Amino acid sequence: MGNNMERNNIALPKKKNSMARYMPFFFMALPGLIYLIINNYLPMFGLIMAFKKVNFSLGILASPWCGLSNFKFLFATSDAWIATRNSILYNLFFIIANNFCGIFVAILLNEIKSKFFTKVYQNVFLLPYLISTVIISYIVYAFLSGDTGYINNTLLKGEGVSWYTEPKYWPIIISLVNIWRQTGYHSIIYFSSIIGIDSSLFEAATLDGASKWQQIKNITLPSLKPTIITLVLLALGRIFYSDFGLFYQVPMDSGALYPTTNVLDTFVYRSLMKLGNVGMASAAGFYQAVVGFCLVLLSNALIRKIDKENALF
Amino acid sequence: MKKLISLMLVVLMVMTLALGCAKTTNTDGNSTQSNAGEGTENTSETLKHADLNINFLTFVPEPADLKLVEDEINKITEAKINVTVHLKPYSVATYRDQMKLQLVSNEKVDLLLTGNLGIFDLYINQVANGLLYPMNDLLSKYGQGIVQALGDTYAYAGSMEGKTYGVPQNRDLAQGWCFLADKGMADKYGIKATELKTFDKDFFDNMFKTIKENESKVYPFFPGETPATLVDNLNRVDPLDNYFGVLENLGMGDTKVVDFYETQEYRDLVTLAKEWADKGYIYSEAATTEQTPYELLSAGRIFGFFSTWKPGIEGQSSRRAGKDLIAITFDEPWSFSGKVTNFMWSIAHNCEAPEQAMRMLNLMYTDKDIMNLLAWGIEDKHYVKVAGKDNVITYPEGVNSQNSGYNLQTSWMFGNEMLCYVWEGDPDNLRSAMDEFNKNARKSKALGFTFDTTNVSTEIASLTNVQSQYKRMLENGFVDNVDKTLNEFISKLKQAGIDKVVTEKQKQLDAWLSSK
Repeated sequence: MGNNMERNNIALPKKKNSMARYMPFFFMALPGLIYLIINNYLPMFGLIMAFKKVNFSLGILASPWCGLSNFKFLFATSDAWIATRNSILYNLFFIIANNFCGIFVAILLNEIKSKFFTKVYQNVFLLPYLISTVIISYIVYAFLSGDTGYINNTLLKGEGVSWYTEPKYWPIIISLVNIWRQTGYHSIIYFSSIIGIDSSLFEAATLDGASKWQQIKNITLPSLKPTIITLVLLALGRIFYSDFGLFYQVPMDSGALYPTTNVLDTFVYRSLMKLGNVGMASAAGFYQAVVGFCLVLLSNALIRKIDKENALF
Repeated sequence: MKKLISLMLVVLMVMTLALGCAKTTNTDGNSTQSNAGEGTENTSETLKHADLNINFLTFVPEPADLKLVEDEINKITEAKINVTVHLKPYSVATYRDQMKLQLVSNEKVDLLLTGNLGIFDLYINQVANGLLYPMNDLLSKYGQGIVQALGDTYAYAGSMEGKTYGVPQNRDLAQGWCFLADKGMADKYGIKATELKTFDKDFFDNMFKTIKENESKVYPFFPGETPATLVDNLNRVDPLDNYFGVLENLGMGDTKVVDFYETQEYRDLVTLAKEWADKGYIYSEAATTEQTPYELLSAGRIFGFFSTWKPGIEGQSSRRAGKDLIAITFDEPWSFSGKVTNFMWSIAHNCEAPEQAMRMLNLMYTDKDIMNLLAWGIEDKHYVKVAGKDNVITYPEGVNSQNSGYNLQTSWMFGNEMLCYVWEGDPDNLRSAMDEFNKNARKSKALGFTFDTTNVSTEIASLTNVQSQYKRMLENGFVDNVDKTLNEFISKLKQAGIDKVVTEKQKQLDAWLSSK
């Protein structure tokens, strides 16, 4: 996009003209910009709370500074490191799995000729994404409950597993639940990109005798590259955040599962629920945001090095 | 260049906004202080009129007749202290967040219910964050009724570094221990309401065994009010707020703070929990469930549960469970800071008329009419006196718990419960029994001490995480190997800095004891 703009600028004779030409677009963007400033930029002022011992009767600005002490609890124990490790590993896996499954389903959807069934499948895939996590946690519970769960009572008759006290199964359970939830959402994004591919490409390929697999490999996937890169970059920026419900509600906050289900968000929640310390909470948010920001910059730089066309900025 | 200019503009805007915020907060801080000063000068003359918001929580939807009750209260308060009150009930689910937001954003709050329970943004945190108004001077000038009703020990139990920011209600300020059991099932096996001198393991073993052998679908017990564990209900320590550093022997022996989790007592209790879990006595999902024992009782899934005891609890729990319950009590009543400070009344940091707020609070501990209005509503509309009895009330004809316009059923919440009528079904002498219970209770030496976590907040954060990982599993017996898990727990607590917290707590406790 940046390249296009430059080209246009060069082509235009006078700068004044270009401003006038773009004015309507600026106006169109105005509501969005205002929203962005109010919602995303103004609260950044609150980041200074991460460095303060907040006392509301003094006000935020007058509260005393306390250096980096609010950040200490994020690095103080091995639990904090385990939570950080879990966040990163889960998110890396989710990025790969969600995009892979999304593309896979999107390609399949594209091959369905009946419009009616395409819509049916889309909706069926999207449904889990729209269900509240609390309800999902009880669906999972219906499967895994020790006493009355489906799996223990039918599949593993006799030798039940105490699912909620065995941490080793949970990386798989969590991943499955996440894929089940996210596939529909990702497939819609990819499906819309696939629809946008110039159909003459496929026609030409068919004429040349390319098989379905060759068409997917040589046309569909390369055309999806910009979408994939955008989605992956966005996901990388949130690598230190995780779906709180997925890691707190779904394992039923069971202490025995912490080694494999504690992520940064749940760790911070559990640490601060008795303290209610605003400074430490801000510190956690600051840490997550800064790391995410750096990751986006780094990975974008990397992409720019390899393939300039596809870099986000 | 254009980019740079726009960037600078944005930065400038943010800066001005930041400064704007700062200014308002500063001036607000000043105005409260100056107001407080003016207030004290004015008191000898006529009372200035004040509007006060009274914030409290409810376990039921907002009452339909709230405004009517408010008007009745205002008739009294406007005449007596020139105050107009506005009752602000919030559902228990939203109260914590509502209060936090309102206090932080400088909204008009005035009087608020708070305390050291999870349903509040803890009192100690609110004090640490400067959200509450120190009330020592106010108490001695305008709040003598409160101090007289509670006695000095209980009235100042919320003190931190010599200043108090909240007063407990005159309600149950001590606790006993009991096992509440399904009466129908107990009768079947000849189990009676008993008063045991101490916790008798064999007695409970036999009882649970009987149930286990005869009732295949019923679990003998549930550990306590969710998410309390068996250890929470059976231990004999003063938790000093958070169990990170406790006093043994209910705080009545020496005042040496020890790490609870390293004591022999804790090891014995978790071993007992394991024994009972292995025998199948304890409800199998007790470590993860969010269901309450009352739900499980009314569904017939459990025989009973461990609980704290106070006069009248049999009736109250029976009504909640929808089943008759009996109590098997053990040990004498006892009082400690945690019990007293779990519900309190406080004045907000930005209250514009703190001395009027204190006068209002004083009325809530001394004025029988106001107390009964707050607790039960309007006479003959929301309640009637039971014929022949002066202090027992019930629903008027045609009114029930479903259609009553004011049915909070939380008389303990509003101030001096001893002034409230007794609801039919509770013992007639409930109020005097409660008063005696409070006065005669054994007291921890640390009663009135509140731990300030400011200096060890990093450690508390780490410890809370470790605690929540092990607590419910270990203390309900759901581990394969108690010793292994307990040792792991202890070493993780060490790593998270429990020794530092114990030392800090000891330091604060010693300072508090010597200042007494």
